[in-house]
Amino acid sequence: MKFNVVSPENTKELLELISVNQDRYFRFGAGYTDLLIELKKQPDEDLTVINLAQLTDDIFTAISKIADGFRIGSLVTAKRISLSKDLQSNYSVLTEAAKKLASGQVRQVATIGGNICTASPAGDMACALVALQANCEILNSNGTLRIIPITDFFTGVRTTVLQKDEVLRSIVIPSNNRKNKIYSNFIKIGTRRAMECSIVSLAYHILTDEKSIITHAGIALGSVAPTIMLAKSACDYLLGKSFSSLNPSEIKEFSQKILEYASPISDIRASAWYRTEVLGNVAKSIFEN
Amino acid sequence: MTYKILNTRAPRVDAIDKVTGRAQYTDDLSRPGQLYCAILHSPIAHGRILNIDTSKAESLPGVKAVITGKDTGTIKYGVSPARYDETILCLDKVRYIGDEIAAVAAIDKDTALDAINLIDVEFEELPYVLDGIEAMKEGAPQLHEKYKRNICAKVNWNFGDVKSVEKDADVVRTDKLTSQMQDGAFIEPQAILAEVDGSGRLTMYSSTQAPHYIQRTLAMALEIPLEKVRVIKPAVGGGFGPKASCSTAELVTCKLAMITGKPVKMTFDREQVFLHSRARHQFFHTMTTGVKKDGTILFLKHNCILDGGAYASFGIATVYYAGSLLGGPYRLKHMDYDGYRVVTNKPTSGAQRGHGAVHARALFEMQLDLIAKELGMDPIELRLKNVMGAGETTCNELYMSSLGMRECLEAVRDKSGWAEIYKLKKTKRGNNNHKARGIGAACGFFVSGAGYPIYRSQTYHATVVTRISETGGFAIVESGAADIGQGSDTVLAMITAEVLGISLNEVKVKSGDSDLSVDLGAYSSRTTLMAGHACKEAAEACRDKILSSVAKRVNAKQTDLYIEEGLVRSRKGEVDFSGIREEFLQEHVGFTDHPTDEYLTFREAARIAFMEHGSIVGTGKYKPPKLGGSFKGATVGTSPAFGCSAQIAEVEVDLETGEVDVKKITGSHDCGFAINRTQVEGQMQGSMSMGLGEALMEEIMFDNKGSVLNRNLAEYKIPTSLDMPQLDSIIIETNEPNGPFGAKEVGEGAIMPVIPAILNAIRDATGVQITELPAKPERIVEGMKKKK
Ligand SMILES: Cc1cc2nc3c(=O)[nH]c(=O)nc-3n(C[C@H](O)[C@H](O)[C@H](O)COP(=O)(O)OP(=O)(O)OC[C@H]3O[C@@H](n4cnc5c(N)ncnc54)[C@H](O)[C@@H]3O)c2cc1C
Repeated sequence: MKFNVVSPENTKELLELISVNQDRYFRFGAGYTDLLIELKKQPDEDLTVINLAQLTDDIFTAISKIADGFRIGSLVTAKRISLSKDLQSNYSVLTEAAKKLASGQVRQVATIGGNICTASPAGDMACALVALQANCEILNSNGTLRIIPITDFFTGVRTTVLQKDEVLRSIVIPSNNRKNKIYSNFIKIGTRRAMECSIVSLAYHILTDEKSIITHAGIALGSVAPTIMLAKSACDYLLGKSFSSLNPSEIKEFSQKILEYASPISDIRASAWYRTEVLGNVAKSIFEN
Repeated sequence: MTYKILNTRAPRVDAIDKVTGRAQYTDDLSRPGQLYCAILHSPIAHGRILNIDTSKAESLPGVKAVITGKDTGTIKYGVSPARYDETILCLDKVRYIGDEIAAVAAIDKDTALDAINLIDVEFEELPYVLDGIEAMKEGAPQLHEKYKRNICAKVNWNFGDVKSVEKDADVVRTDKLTSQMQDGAFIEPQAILAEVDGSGRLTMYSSTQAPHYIQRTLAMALEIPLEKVRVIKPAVGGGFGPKASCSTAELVTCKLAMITGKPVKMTFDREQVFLHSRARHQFFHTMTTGVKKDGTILFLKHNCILDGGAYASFGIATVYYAGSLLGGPYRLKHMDYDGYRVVTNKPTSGAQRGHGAVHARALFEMQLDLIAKELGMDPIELRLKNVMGAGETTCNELYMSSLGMRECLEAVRDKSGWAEIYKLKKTKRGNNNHKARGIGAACGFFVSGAGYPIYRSQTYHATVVTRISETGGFAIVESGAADIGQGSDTVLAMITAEVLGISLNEVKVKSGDSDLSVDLGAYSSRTTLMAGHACKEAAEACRDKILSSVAKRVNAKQTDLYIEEGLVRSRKGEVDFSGIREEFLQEHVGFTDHPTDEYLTFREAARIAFMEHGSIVGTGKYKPPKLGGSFKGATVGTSPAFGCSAQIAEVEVDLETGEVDVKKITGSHDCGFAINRTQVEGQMQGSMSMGLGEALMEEIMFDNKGSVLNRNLAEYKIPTSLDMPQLDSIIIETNEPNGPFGAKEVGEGAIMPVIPAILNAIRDATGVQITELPAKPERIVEGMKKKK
């Protein structure tokens, strides 16, 4: 594994480097926990890695409260997300996903941008962000910003809408409007408690009003389809229903709607059968506490 | 008997070096001008080699040598002489994906790997077989000519007379358990550095568990005299069995050093660890057990097929152990065993912690629980009713010189609160729709050192040479024993310090070097007992020489003198040591560390002895007495002593996902006498962690071509620290008459009860009886579905 590394320190230098490398094979590197494993499997090529880790601009590195929600720079690590009190109290689905990612050592360097851009169906933070219906803020080499919903970001296993001259700058999570209570959590199924790629994951972020009526629902599924899925019809089904008094047949119907989004495969981690079985079970468990 | 050093929690002698990074592992070593070795592994599971073209590799700049089977020869080697079936590199055939075809030495690793890619091999692909049961069928692809139906070892044992008691059984059950091939998952991949000195003598540094056996295999397979081979084991990061046999990597690295005249180095990457394997076999066990109404175990009929991959390796011992170690710890007078060790086109299995006996034990202990249930008996009561004690002999002629099985069981029963938890109605255990709690118990039993060497020989199993430094200050212990992280150097240091009456930091242990002494290696849980005996004897010889010199000088009887806490004392009142002190002081004019103690110090005494004799050297040796019966295979399973253990596991199973949360394991182990209490607990807890992994997650997976799919520690799952439950470790001491200071094994025995205790607890929680390991969430959900 051999490559050149260039380390821009600010956005201007970054955009320049993206421009000058347009005709070459280059990759971005942030925490490198996916990239190095990928490169190890490939034959050596003339590769340049644009190292994002030295960027100092807040827009890439900070978690900040903005008018209509929170902005998270793409270089924010899983560790920092897991420690953020603001995120914990508003979007615990994301902080829980960050806490369950890999291990203490990996969380120390793994970035949220890397988790999204690697576009794995098993990405934990990415799954939480789909449930939160976050927006991706993408910069191109001219400095132009485009914003697209994360639900449109993934195009397949390990493929995204990012163009060669684009970089993911930041993510915006919308505010929790008209909430009374937040039911927000990340369920991760695996054989062990750390260093585990999800066999199935389910991220949910549900808001209710003072009468316990569901006013907003975001539910995302990981590892059961080529990309992380927003279970839209299951979310819509919940709107207007009472969170605390769904009856068994409603819960069953809900879980069936969830399963419509699952087209899992069998691999060395689990069979398609198990993935479907367990997804149906954990979907029901959201309401059973 | 009270001890100053033994039975304490003394810190390990290598602790500081290990935690500061000073300890040198093989990969830390390098030599000026060294070359790097790379190996070409077979890409197909079974095939005839038609042609190997190495010309492109040879002409790559930086390549110093390329070797194939033509260069390494036709000599066969392996583990048991009766089943030598490997050549250093493949000659005519490859037998699994990973089999070694050629090797390269080059100026650096990249060049060596590039050269490997330039070797062209022409194969005629042959049909292959990946399933141990299929392999035994008539017409299955045959791996080796000499193994008909691919069976490389067969055992048929009948102890007692099962037929005569079958009709007396009130409950008879037949159950099955299948496991998967496993990996040792040690942290340090195998690494080797080989060099030849000016006299033509070969020295190999290797991450090995058994320098002695490796030395013999190198000499034999490379056709050089034994005296011309030295094997040194630097610090080792775990072995668990797979590093106990000589590997192709070791042989070719040495061969390349011999050919090039340069030091040659090689370190496996993690994939190669999986391909070389030599770890736990896949077992297919079927057992029929008969028990009387009152719980008395009457008979066991046991059938086991072991899928061992392409070569025999340790497999013959494995198939014997799988049967013989069910002889204890329960009174079982009638036992039939049919065992088959089969070859298939997969990486070779060998020995791994609890050699051969782990899954046999797992199924038998699960059956005992199921039988207890049928009889309405408490499973611990059923076991207590049948346990053997010291002085008894098993139906296969294993003698229990000590056996604290009852004590172990009672200890875990009482400590865990078994009686209350076991009887609790399920609802009161905190169960709900999602979660169910369960509790399970099991026992285990293991050898404390194999009774016989792997090759037929009257050799001592361990020798030790201890020398007192000529300045008098400390003792140097020279042993061939292999400390692979389990702490045997500390055990030898503690025994020496205790015998000599000095402190632990006045003992230096040199070990793991075939030039130092003979020791068969770190396997079969033998080192504490065997090297311990030799070490004790060597230290005693030194002590006696020192005391005899002192006695002569002060006109005392040697037997009245003893050494304690670094001082020579007399049991018979005051002795005038002033003459010796005087002489010592005169020798050390200008020194600032003169002895000031009232009594004579060890330093002065040892110096006086040196003045009389020259260097004070003591030697020690150990060899077990003749053990075992006279039936075929009677030697496997024999041991000078047997360890035993009991464990109780408490689990919580998620009924929706099948995830198992092991909450607590209470374990006890009879180690005879704990030389170092912390190390005994360390072995127990390490066993629990390894057993938990084997019970719940570990399995090597293959695609349908025989390629290992999960050749890394991301997808070959072992427990992380977060997966470990609360562990309570209880040490039971029964003063083993055949052990040094009463000590016997703990290294492997403690793994025996883990799997069945967890599986019994899972069944208690969910009603699901696991018939195929590991008990992954998926298998549990499947089991619950079937039950509904
Ligand atoms: C042992 C181990 C365990 C793991 N366990 C988990 C787990 O439990 N859950 C989980 O979700 N993941 C897991 N991962 C995967 C990985 O850690 C995460 O996906 C992590 O978030 C990736 O972030 P990174 O900063 O390391 O990305 P990098 O490896 O630096 O980059 C990943 C990819 O994204 C691209 N990229 C990075 N940043 C940007 C950007 N700003 N704009 C455009 N492209 C970008 C890179 O070019 C690369 O293709 C694990 C990895 C390892 C090694």
